[in-house]
Amino acid sequence: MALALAILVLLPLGWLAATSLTTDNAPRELTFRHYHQLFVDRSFLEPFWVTLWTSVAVGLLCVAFAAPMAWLVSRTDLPAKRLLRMMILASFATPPFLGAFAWVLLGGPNAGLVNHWYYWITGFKPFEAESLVNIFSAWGIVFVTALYTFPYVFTFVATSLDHIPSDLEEASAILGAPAWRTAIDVTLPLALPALLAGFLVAFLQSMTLFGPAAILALPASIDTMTTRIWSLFQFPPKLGLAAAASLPLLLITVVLLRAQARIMGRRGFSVLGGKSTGQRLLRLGVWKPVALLPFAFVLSCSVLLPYGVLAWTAFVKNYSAPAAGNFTFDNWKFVFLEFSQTRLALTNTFLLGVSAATAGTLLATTIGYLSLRKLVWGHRWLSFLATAPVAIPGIVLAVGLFLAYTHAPLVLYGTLTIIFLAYLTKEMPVGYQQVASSLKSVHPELEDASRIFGATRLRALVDVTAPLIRNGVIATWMFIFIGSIRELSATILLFTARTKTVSVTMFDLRESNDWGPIAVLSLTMLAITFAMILAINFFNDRRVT
Amino acid sequence: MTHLELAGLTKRYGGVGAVEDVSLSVAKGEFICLLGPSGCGKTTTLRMIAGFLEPDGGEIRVAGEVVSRPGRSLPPERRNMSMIFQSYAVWPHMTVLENVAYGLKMQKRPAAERRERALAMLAATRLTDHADKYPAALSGGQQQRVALARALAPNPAILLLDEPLSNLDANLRGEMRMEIRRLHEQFGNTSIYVTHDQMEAMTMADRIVVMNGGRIEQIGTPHEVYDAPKSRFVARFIGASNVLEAKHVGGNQVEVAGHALEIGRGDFAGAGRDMSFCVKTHDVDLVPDGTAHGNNALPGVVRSHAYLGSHRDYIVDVGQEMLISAPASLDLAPGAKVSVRFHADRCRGLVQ
Repeated sequence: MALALAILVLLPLGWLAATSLTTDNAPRELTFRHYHQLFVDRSFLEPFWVTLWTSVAVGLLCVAFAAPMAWLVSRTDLPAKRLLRMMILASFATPPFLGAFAWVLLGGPNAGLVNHWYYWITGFKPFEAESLVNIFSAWGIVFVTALYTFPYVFTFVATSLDHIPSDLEEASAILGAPAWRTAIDVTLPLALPALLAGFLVAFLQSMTLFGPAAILALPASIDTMTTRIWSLFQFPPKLGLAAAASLPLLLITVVLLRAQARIMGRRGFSVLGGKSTGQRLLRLGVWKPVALLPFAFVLSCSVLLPYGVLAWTAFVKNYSAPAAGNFTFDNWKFVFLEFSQTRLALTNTFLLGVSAATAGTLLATTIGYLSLRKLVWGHRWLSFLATAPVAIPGIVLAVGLFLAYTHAPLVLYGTLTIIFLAYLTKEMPVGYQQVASSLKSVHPELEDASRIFGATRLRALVDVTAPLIRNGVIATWMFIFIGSIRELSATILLFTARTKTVSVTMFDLRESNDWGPIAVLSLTMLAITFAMILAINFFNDRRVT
Repeated sequence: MTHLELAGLTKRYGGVGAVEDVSLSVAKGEFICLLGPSGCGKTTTLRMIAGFLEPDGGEIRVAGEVVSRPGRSLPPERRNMSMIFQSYAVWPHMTVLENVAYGLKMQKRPAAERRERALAMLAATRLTDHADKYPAALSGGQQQRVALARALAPNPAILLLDEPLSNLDANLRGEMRMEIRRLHEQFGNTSIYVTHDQMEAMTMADRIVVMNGGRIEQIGTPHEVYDAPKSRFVARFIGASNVLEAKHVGGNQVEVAGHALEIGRGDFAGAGRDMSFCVKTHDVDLVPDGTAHGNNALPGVVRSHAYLGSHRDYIVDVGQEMLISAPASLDLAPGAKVSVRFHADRCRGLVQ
């Protein structure tokens, strides 16, 4: 078990390091040429710089919007909180590349609907006046990426605020501090670790995402690190360089995740044990509409407009034409009945989703049980290996897998298996953490009790542990399934004509500007995702929560 | 008749002894309390008896058969024991009745018998009305009674209880103490009860085993442990005692800060050596004005006092601080000079 896990994680990384240090063609020799080129070649320095500043911008933008939003939801009598939280969850559940597609339709410089409205309102003519927004730009990437990463910051900060007992704030109030003073002196410092951690996660997301960058930056001839690595895989492939370019991403991720863990560990949840007497909510009064403004703006941009434009595009012949005589079901017919590519892709995606989710859940549950109950030697290593892939960006993992499995004895390139391995590895940390947290909530004495009354360890597992972690296990399966069917960053390097997935097919359809089918596939993906989230709630066994 | 026997039981974690050379014989039907502060090894001992931990030294015998020794331990499920846990460990996904019948199911009793016996246990613990509820719907005290019924249902040879009352509030705790003792009288299981609360141990146990630092300090009936502590630790832990430092002069005489005192009982260190003696807070007389020296008394100064209705607690400095329970009518201000008079037969010499 540990060995299989070690191979799964370490083999690709080993190949990554080895390839980055050897020449591409036989005879293979040790060289630092690739790294050298990384530091002198403008075609690498430029994308690196773009990646860096856009990611910082995404992080700052997320914090600037999400922190006040979290504070409003947690600390004031804002109306419709449930709805707002649900819509933020919907932003979270939306694959960023879907958002990017939608924003091409909305924010394309001439045909984009937002610009359409702008011309219609102002009376300017397209091609004569400057368009209102141009999504095909570095700022376009920042905007779209931020829309789908701000939920991380929001969740971190809101959770942190929810756990700050209001008596800490009341203590400040009783000593004479006005509300704003308390917010700055007490609430902010307590929420700061969550804020920092949120910033780091947003930064990392932005740095390692392939979808938005590829969809929005490539048409504007801008490269980020992920699109640059991808382009190194186009013919003729430059594998050594690709490997060398992947390692900085890996290193930055490892360092920042460690920093995040330290920040959260040090102070983040130190007040978690506090005995809270219920939150005292600040009355917004006449400011309510103003407080709702940021929510209206962000959620329109992340959910309402994109979902709307996708729904519209799926049912019309031309998304930028007027409604009259435009409606059609051809896009749906095309995707599900006519176009062989999409049917193959749907089958592949479904197969991959089910197999990765099933294998991942089994593996995560077994590892979780063995390591948390300390049943095997080296259980610490098991949990380390299971969570380590969280630090491997999807595209870096794909480079590693590509290098590892194009060689004898295991030639997996061109099979669904290699994509399956990518999904399994990538989703393992999420699965493991999910299972581990439900296992941790099962007090060991519950199992001990079963043993002392005559059950063997296996029987105790069946009678007590399994029913109690059932919710967590079902949720794990669905999370891995959702994560797998939307995967793009790793798949983009690993697919071949026979092993296309839905996400990759959508990426292809964009080349031919087939926006109708893209919209149909997007809606399908969203529908499956939300059906799964509803199903998790449906299957929840409420007796044990 | 010895039912459960621990012989030289030892358990170490990373070289540090959690339990060191613990030996104990328990008779059939006896109620034993393992009493001590947290980290004293009492829970480790209990978990070794249950079979969740394997000893590093010594052995455990039940009815003469070895069930635990280093390298060879019978797993918990084959020991015919029951246990009540600190966290109750009532299974939330089973109804109260299913919980209670679980042990009988493991014994492969017929379904009808299981139900009958489980219902009888619910009646004995006054839970009949809750049979089909899930534990989440019950209060803490009720959940604890479910744990009790579940543990007693299989009629175990040995019942283990790991601080079962520590999660209950004070009122319920008193009630459950009676309940546990009543059920013990009714069913007569050999019981090992772990607690850090000396009140629980005093009111329930046939014999108390006081543990400290992984070792047994003293084994005795509640009366023996209270009245005749063998060590400073036991005297302090059982409570209501002052432990004073003294020097042995010879015979029954000790000296404290230049004053001679007579000690009626206990152990003596040998002339010229340091020793201690203990005396209960209510076994000394507090005399105002501080002139009655010589008559087995020490001069002192009142540091503080607290009025408790039935009596007053005084902190008195006699060179060492003492806690003294005096009649409520005796009202002395802090700083007042006093004499503390000792009765030889109430003072007990301590060497350990």
